[in-house]
Amino acid sequence: MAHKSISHEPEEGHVNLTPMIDVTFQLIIFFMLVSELTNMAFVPVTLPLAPHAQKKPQEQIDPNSELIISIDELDRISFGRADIIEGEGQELLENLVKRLRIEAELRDELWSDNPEGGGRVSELQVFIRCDRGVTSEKFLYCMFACNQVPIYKVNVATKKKLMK
Amino acid sequence: MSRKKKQNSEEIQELQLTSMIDVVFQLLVFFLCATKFPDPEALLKSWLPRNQGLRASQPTQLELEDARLVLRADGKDKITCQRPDLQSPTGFRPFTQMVTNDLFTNQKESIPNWNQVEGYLVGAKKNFSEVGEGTKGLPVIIDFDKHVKFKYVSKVLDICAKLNITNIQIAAPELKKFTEEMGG
Repeated sequence: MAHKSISHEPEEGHVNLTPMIDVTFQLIIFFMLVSELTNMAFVPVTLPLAPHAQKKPQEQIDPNSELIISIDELDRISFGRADIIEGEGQELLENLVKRLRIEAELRDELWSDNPEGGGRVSELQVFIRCDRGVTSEKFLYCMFACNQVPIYKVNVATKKKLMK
Repeated sequence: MSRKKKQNSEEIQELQLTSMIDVVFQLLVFFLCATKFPDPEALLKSWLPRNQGLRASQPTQLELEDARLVLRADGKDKITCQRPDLQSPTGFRPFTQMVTNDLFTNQKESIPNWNQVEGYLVGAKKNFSEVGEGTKGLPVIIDFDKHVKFKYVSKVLDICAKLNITNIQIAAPELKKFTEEMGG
């Protein structure tokens, strides 16, 4: 009888940590991936505010048909994250046109005859991400270069609202 | 001896998870703090005109059927905006200035009254509709020099987007002159 009473003593409580560990690992994987994506984004620039700009329709644009040019706060023009276009004045313009031509030629299927006559045009969409604080000089260079390729679909990247 | 061995083998084998959970939480807190989500971006469409090439920024003759905004930087923190006015000796009339603080840097800046700029474009659009020429809508020419900060150019583009004006042209200086000035 005494033996029986010992066996009914309350056992030490154990918290089942397995689901919590599962969830925590899921969270870690999520944050690792998101952090990586953020790091792989383009040159960080402070975009100008434009509350009436269109939302960028990410699902509609084929990534192959768009090209992003960034102009950072140090007034440098770059493709992607660190591909800075060197030069000043005429040299810079020539380098820009050369690079844009290469990008346009790589997307061969985007070239079409200009419906209004005058040769072929590239349907490549260029997004210019220009820092709000810099002068518009380099922005003008980009416009000149697009015109010379010729690429006519140029978009200006903005922010719809202030995010602090 | 054999009894003792049996007791040991019956003990439940448990993994010591505490230290792993500690590390996992450290990692989680790190990523929570370090992650910066990318801000959503929007776009202002500014299709370049086809087959028009590059034109000089100062046409010899003012064309009244389009709206023209001339942005000029006057010092570091002052920007002026003018519109064509044939009665003015210079051919242009400035919009009134207002002093405000920059949203990001909080620095004082003298900028044109954007409400007046919008009012001018609304009026021009209304008049243009009455004439009913063309199908692309009111042509708006934005003429800015290289010293004008980009945020003001985008502000004008934003006003055009608000008014649903899509026929926007950017008046650029002559290419050769521009690149020579920039040290090419």
